[in-house]
Amino acid sequence: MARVHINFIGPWRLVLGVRTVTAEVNTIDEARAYVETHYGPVYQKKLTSRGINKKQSIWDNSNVLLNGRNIQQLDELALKDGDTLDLLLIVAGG
Amino acid sequence: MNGYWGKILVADLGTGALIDEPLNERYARDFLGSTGLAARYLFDMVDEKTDPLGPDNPLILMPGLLNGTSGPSVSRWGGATKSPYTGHYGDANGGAFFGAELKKAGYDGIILKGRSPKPVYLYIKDGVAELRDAGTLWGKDTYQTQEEIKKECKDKRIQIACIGLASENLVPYGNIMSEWGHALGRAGLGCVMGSKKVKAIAVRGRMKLPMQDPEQFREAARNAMKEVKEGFLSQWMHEGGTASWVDSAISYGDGPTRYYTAPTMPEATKISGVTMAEEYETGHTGCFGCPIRCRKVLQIKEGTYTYDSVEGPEYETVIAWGAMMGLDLDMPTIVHLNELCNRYGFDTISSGASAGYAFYLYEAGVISEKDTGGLKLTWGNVDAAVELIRQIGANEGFGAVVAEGTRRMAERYGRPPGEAVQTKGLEIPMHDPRAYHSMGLVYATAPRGADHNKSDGYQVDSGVGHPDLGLNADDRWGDEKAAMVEKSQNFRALTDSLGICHFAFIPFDLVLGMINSSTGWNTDMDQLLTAGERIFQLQRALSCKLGITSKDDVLPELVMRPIPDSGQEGHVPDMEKMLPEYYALRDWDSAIGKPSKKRLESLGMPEIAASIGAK
Repeated sequence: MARVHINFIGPWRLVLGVRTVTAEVNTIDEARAYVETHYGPVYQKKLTSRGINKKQSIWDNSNVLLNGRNIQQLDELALKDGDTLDLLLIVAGG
Repeated sequence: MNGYWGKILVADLGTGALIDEPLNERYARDFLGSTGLAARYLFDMVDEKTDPLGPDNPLILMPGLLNGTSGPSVSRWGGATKSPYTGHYGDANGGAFFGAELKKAGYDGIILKGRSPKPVYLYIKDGVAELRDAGTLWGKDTYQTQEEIKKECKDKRIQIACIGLASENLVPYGNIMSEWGHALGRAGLGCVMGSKKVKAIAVRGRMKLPMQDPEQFREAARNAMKEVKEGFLSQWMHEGGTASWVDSAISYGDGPTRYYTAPTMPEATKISGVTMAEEYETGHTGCFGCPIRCRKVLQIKEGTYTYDSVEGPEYETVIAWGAMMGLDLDMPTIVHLNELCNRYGFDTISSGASAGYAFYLYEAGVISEKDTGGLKLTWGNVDAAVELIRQIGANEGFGAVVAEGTRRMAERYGRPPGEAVQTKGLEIPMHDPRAYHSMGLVYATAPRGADHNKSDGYQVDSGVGHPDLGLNADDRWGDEKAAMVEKSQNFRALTDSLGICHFAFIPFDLVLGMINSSTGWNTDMDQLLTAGERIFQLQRALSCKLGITSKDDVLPELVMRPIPDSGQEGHVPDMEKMLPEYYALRDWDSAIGKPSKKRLESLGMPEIAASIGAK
């Protein structure tokens, strides 16, 4: 199993209450499942507190960078020890 | 005329005459409100010979069509003039409460003409206007001005748009401020107001706007409010505000650093919206009728500068007066810099970029302390930045040089024009076109000059998208952006003129519901999107009338230099590919940059086509 650092960038850390976690995952799909399992309920609780009952995904609302590169632009997605996944909220403003 | 009052207040400042002129109904129908309608009026009133600081240059301020109604997040209002900063078409768009109050005070707009012999302020209440002496207000900052007027009028609910010392001193990018930090920020509209010796416009209104079907309007507005409250973008703008984009900007290389020459500073996270929320936030404020409430109220208890209650800076300011000069700032200091800019009343984007250029020139050895009056403009020198703000506001010393902007600074010091990071005279905002190629096209083609708000380029390519418009996220470094940019520009021209905030995604059927029940027009979305294109092409035509050509649709050379070891990964936009494709979509003449006669006539503007000699 690869030990991968998952960073919740910017506004995600406000809502989820965490900046970085280390997960033992081998693939992007496993990383996604890890994030949704462990932090999806936290996000959902926040939404419910705002009167929003629709289920929303952390992963689907993020741009995901593997070692700084957007995973949508990568051919090779296998994870190895020390890799970093940054989850950046898709929202932009300013 | 439903949805409007049918009248514009025209102030002839030279004689002191205040006249209610009938609103041109065809203009209102075709150009809606705010910057769209203001641009149409401006087209008839200026030409290449008009002196931007002379009495013949009007300042036109107008509410958005939906301002003052119960619609959600429809508080945006705007203005247009011949810009003293760029020398051609200038407009600006702002929020807060002024536009709504002006609409409730019984007017569809204000046109300031001429020049007052002494400082005055315009007071409007429920359809009646008067000019009042502003002798005791002249010399006061924008916060003091508003407090004094409220005291004088014995009314805390008056809404005020005013200028600070910067515009009194004719700083070319002096702006118009309202509340605590809301601004008609760019292109120097405040400077024009200062040249006319108008210190402020104070409005108070309780009039009920005539509507075609008020009950149906309320229904549409109620449903729209629910959509905005639950909207994804709304939630996050409330949570983090615009400055929460800083951390993503660091990853993407989106925030210009050391005058657009270095990767985005990671230290900028210390002054991000997330840090504001985690360590300093005590509440939120918002604009009229807006459930998003994206602005943060902060309490700063410790540090060089302390504040019991202050509104936090926006993303643009955090970068423009931070990473732009390589400043490693703490929160108290960036809040203080923001407050200074707000109180003096000048554009933080143009001033920050121009100050950044000054630092760049100093570091390159082009200028020295002899030129700067002793200021050591080394990257990261916070004290120098603080002093520079004061000098800009006073339009004195080296600050007067920086107040002229990057284009004139490059001319002054004999530098290559491409070193001035501006298009058409307006500095590029804090979204680097090397991070989002669409922004290269947006900046090169925006009518008033480089403008991140005339389109949603970086927002679409970050993933926010616009499903209603058929715009979905794409590779941010792709160069197939012409169609997306064109569509998005038309859409923003429309929403700006309606008064809708960019952070509020209101489904099209509800936008239509509100407009039709207010005005009785029975319009549809196709017609409204066409109105958006009409507004954009009109603004382009006006820019051309005032001297802009295709030669001005360029990105400066400095932002075409790759920064390899950064979130930009060495990418630069392919303008040679994107511009011709964009021109074809817009039907602009590639030699002179004017919209074609055919296109203007198809949009119902034959007189505009004739006026600019379109072919």
